[in-house]
Amino acid sequence: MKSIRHTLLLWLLPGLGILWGTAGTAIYLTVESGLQTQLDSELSALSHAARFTARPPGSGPPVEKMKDWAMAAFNDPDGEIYFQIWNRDGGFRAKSRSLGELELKLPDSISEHGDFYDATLADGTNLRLWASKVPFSPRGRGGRGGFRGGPPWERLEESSRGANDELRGLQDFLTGRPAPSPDRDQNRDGDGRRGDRDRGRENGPGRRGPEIVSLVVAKDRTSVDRTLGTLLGGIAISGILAAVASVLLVRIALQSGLRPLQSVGERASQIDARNLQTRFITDGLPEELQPIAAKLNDLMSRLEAGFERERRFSADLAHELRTPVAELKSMAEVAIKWPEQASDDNYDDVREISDRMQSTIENLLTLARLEKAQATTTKEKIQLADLCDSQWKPFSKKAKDRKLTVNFDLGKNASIESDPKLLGIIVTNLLSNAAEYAPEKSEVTVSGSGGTNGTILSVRNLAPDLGAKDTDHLFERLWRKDSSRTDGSHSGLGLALAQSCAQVLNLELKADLQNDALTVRIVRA
Amino acid sequence: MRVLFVEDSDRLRKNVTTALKASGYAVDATGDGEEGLWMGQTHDYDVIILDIMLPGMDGLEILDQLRDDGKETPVLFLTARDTVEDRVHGLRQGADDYLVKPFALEELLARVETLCRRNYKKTTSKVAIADLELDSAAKSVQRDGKSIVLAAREFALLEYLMLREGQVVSRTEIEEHIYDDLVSPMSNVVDSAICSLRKSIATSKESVPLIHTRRGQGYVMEDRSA
Repeated sequence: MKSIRHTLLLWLLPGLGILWGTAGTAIYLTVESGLQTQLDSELSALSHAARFTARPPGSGPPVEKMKDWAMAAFNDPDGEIYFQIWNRDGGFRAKSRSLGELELKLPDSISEHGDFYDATLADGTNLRLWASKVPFSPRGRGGRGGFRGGPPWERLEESSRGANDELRGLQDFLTGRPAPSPDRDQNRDGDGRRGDRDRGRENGPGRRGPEIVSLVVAKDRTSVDRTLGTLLGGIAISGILAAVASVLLVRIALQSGLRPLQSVGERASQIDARNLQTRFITDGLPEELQPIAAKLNDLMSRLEAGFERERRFSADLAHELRTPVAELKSMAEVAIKWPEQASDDNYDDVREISDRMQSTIENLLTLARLEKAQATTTKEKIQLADLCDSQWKPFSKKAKDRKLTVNFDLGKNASIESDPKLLGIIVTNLLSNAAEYAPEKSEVTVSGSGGTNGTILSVRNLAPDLGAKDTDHLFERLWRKDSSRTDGSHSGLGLALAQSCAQVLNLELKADLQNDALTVRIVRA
Repeated sequence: MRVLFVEDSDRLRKNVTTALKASGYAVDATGDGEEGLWMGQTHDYDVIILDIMLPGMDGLEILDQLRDDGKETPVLFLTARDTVEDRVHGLRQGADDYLVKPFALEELLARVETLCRRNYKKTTSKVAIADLELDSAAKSVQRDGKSIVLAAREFALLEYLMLREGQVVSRTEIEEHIYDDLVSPMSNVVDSAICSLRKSIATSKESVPLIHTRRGQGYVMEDRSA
């Protein structure tokens, strides 16, 4: 079964999960990007430090400091920064002492502005590397060739006295001397220094043109990866905690928010035909549910009234039909079992009971046909005075016996276009009720149009037994003021039948009770 | 047995009253609720048959009032209201039985008879004192195996006395339970009826007298031969 709670949970929990995941990923990527940028900046600075090593002292403290730090780190066997240089042909020329026996990886190609990339040393150390093409103009020892500001080896030597052979090789390379080779090593003296002959031969300026070398500077990124790992773990744990907290919060929020709806649902589920008096409590309901509860209460009121009307109708109908049948049956059984008790009066009783039942059944059938709109109507001009006169005749004797005074105030030309049969039923029932229920020696007034609110015809008579609320039930089927229904001459279907006829004719019957005087009006719907 | 019948349908009231009387009951009938309540309060009926929809006061109100007054008379609702809710409501209100219109007269008479019997704590339709047996269902009387034919009122008188075996039954009680109309205090109709009944149930010279007179009190029916 579809549930609001489950639907909301189905949307909210994955939604919150996606939000938390996105936020965690964004944080991780931002920090990673920052650390990477910082690492790349350091590599770039290291590269620049190398390239500007030869700058004169005092040209800029940052570069000087960086240079000193870099040279120290390059020469530290346990250092975390490295460099390696290849000549144009990709031949190894030099590397930092910190590399030891290890070597950096030269990328297949290097762009004009240099490339950053990641690689792993043979010992498993993860590195961040920067590779660039560095222009070199070899000059003499006192010149300012090499990396822009001139050959850096002197400063290298100053800042890193005792540099290894590879660093010296770099110096040789940068000054234009050939790369060390086994045969050239023979010219080295005992401490590895080159012979003066070689130095003097290769020191000459301008012996070579500017040369582009490949310089790769690297830095151990283990600490960065560790930081990122810690961050990832933190984000993961926070994400799990946030997910658990979200589930709990969402459940609590839904439970609390949906409680009024749940209580309305539970109350509604308790309603059945036996407790239609149940109403929804609107006090304390959220404003979103207030109109729903109010509408439901209104619906319940109407449903209860409808059920009560139907229940009363069933009970009245049962009485109207069962009592005469019981009379007939008991009469027959007495006559059969105790024939001496039977008399000729029984036949009259049987006929009267049959007439009464026939009338009730015919009225009910007519009502059913009218309510199902099965009645066919014709239209013709009807003179109201003539109609009332003809319909009153059957009741004139009773009115006379009860000493009623009847006033017809219809006007000679008052007429209406309608169905004569159905309009006749309406008028007959109104006049019949007036003749039956108006107190003796009272007055009955039948008026035509010209009244208020489109009245076509009205019948007015005293009805001291009726209460104000009785007018609400006057047109209900089988309704009678006397709930015991003792008087068998009326069934209580007359006015209901009249109202149904009126509806078929697009008319309406309205009843008003004022000062014990009942006025029933036929008005246009 | 005396029955009160409150029903607003004149024809039905007349037919049922006829049937009850023909079956040996003394019947008081009325079509008005308030009058029915008054009769129920002022007379000691064996059974009250009530319609529910009555003018003046409905059957449920009458029953309520009677029970409030401490009247334990068995009440049977005879009504057109046929729903289960109506029946349950009526029985829970304190009615002893419920019958829906239209009904079979035989069924109504059987139910009234059962309620009468229950009123005297009897579970079967047969009552016996010594060798005298009465079957209220079959409306038959036998003594020592011989069938005795009684008029309806005699049968009712014998049944009433047998149901109250060993108890002193006053003339007034007999008048109230057996006779429809008020009996004059100076009338000896009860004594005459008792005398006639004694003769009817004495089937032989050896028949033991079962109806005994208590001077100034009434009559007792019991077997004193043992």
